[in-house]
Amino acid sequence: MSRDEDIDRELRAHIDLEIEEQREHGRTADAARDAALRSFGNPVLVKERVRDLSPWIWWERLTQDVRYGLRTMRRQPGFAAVVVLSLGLGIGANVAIFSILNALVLKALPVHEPARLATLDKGSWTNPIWEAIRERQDALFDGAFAWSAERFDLSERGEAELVDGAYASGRMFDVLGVRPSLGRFFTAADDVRGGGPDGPVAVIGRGLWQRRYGGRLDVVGQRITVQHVPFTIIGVAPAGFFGPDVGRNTEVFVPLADEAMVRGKDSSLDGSWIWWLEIMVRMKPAQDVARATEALRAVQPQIRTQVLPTHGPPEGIARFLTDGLSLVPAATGRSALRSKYQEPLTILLVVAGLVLFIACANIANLVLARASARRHDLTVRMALGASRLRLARQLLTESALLAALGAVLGLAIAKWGAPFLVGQLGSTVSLDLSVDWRVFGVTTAGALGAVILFGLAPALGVSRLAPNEALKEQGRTVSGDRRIGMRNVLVVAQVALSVMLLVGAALFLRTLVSLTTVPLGFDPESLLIANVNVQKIAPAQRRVAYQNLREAATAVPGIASAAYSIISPLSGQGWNTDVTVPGAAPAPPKQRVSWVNAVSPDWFGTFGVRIVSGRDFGPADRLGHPAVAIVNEAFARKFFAGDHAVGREVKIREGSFQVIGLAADAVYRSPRQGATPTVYLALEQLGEGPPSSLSLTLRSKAGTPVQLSAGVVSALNRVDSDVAFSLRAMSTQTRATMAQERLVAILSTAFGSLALVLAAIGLYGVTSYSVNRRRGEIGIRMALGADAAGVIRLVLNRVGWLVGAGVVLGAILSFWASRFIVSSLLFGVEARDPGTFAMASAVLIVVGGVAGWIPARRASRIDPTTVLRES
Amino acid sequence: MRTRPTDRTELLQGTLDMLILRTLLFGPAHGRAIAKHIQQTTQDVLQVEHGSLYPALHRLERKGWLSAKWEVKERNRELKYYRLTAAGRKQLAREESNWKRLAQAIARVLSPPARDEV
Repeated sequence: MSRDEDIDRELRAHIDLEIEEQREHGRTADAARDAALRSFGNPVLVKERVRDLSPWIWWERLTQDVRYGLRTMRRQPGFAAVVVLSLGLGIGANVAIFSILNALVLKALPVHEPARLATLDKGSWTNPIWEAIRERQDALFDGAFAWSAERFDLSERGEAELVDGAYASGRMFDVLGVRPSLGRFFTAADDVRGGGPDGPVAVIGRGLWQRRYGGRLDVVGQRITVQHVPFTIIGVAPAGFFGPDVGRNTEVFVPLADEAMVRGKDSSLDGSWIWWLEIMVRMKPAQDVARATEALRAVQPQIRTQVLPTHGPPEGIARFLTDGLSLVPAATGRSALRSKYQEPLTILLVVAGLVLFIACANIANLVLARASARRHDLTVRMALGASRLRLARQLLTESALLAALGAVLGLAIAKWGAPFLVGQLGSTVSLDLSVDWRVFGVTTAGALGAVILFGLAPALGVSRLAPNEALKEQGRTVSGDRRIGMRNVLVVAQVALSVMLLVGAALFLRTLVSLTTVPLGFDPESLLIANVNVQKIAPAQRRVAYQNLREAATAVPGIASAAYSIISPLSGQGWNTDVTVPGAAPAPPKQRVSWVNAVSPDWFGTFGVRIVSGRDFGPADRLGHPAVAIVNEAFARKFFAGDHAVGREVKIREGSFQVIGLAADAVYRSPRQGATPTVYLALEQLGEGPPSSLSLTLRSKAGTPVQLSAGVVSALNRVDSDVAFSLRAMSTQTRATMAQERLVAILSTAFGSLALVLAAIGLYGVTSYSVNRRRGEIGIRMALGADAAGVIRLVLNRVGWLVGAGVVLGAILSFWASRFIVSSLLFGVEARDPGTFAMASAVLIVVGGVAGWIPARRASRIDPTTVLRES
Repeated sequence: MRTRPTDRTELLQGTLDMLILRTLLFGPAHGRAIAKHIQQTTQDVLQVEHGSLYPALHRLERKGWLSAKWEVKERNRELKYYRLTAAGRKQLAREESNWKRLAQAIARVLSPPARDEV
């Protein structure tokens, strides 16, 4: 017999006994029964109180509440769906953005004791500097390593197969403390020029091993070509290891010394002026960053003497390595993306948080409306003996259940959304988005916050229920309900936050539009870029190879012209120099800088950049002939003060040049920088002969050049099988320069629209609720002669107050928040742009008007006789 | 709300336990008999609410001061009889002495010894 049955039986026995006694006193059966029941009181309540004694009562109650909650949800699937969906979107947005921020900024590297890692701050370092530190690594630290992040071409020939790779010094794996999942890692013995005992060796990532080698165990010992140079695979990195760079998935590591083998005479190993290496150290257990920096600075003078360049500009040599070296903590690795994305992502996280808040406010409104509808049900249960606490707990359980479902949906949305967003950061960006305790914590916090925001209000509302009165009303309404006030506050907050998010969205959208409408100086839509690498061809034959390649590309049907350059505009690469103009006063050091590019004849024609005066480079502009240059208009404005450029002379680091032409402005590095001063040199006049790789730009006759890719690939393949190349559309490259702005614009617009929709729903909800409550009053007004327009005015008046208060509050909030939007995130628009503020306010007023007008119109159609009959 | 005659007093918190234990000192009894006994002995001054009685019985049983058993004893009816356990006896002794001390203390306040009557 269960405890419940036991109690039931006991109480029943008691009452039966009472009845029996009453009958013995001579009452009729019915009277006896009535008397017994009356004297006993409420048996259900007694039973409840006995059951309350059980130590498991909380669990019984919880399962009961959950069961009841699920039943309510099933009965109102629409309500549950709206709540779960809006919570899911809100939580999902937060979790997705947080998991990116987490992976980029917060997560420690998956290595041994990451907290003891530190990097050498401020830029990159030369190999001689690294070698000087390497000598001292064990005295100063528990080891150190240097690396250079690269894109490696793994193809044997032809079209490139690019992966993230790195030149890494011998002890990298040892210092990081990772173990190979197969084979061995390279060591200091392998990191010697000319190759170690096993020759040139490579370590590959686990992903590449699975993808390219099907996870076969005999991969160790196999050949792999890295930048067309054969290496031997000696090991596979463990799962989850992506190298020291966060944001990259480095899958091929080769010893630093082998760089000479890959780049040949272009090697950077002995370059005293080539800053290309990152340096990371493992601090000794007793060291902190300050102590480690101190130790490094103590030997800095010695290092400086050791690596001081013997050639170069005297002022550069004087300044060389004089700034104190400093280490910064690197438990989270190094990332080129971090500085670019940390701020935008933080802003987006705040925005997503506000969207979640608005969603919660909406749900709170819905729940409050429902709570009033359920008042009758609740009061009946209270009259039957349920305690207020019990009812409040019941309501809270329902909210928690909805929030839990929302959190699950949110996690699913984030699981899908986060990789999508990472893809927007750049096609090669890779981040470890796995759910860790932080992401889990944020999800839980989101759900808990939601419960507090929308679950607590109705639960507290229970404490104000008065069973006697509510039962008397039989569900009819009383005016002056305090919860209406609460709902108005929520709606005003929603409107205000929506204004703020819309202002933000508009600012970021205008930034993106301004950037995309910056005149580039050329039309990217018709251009295709081939990065051509002729490294495997002997230097003497390279000129001919380049020529043949260009001719082959031009012969492809649909291609109008083709030209070479060292730098491809908007590729992110740059080459700059200091300019002096003979006869003019030298500009201050920082203002002498100009971009440089070296181009072949017809490069301007291919890009569609007009030669304003003078001439283009021609076949005669080669070595042995006068050194010539073409400058753009921005250059002429800056260095010639707008005077005639053609015929002038310019001195740059690369030599002295005669200006033969003035070109129209074109963007060099990014649309944000606009048209910057640029000097173009003749490719044929570069002293060292043709470099091992060039950018070949192709112009299509009409239409998108991507369709011509296949033709270009086979044409280039036919020229020489030793040539390696990769193709991409110029428009892709242009878009990539705005990845950050695009991401911020897309997300803030999406969030702003979501906020707007939610606010509209909230406004609609609260208005139609109040119209329903005021049916009687409106009916009377109409019976007394108010016309439809008057009723609409009456309702819209209220809506107007809510929207007006929200818009004003929102404008103030936006004004305050604008200080957090740094100007580097905006372009072509001010953070406090009045037009944007006005537009956001106008959008909300219109949307609010529509959301209020629908219930207002319904109110105006109330039939007074029906309403009056109801009451 | 049920109205209650004014000459009936609500039980002090905790005293119900003592009264139940005390009642069972005379032998096993079922819930209704216990309530009746308390009511009759106090000449209806103390009204035992069923809403308090049964929770109290179950609580005391849980604490091990009472044991309960379904038995057929009177009127040919199976009823749940409670009886005092050894632990319950000890508890009763404790509560009685506590109660006496409390009653004396209160009595001293209400009727100071100067008047010399308790």
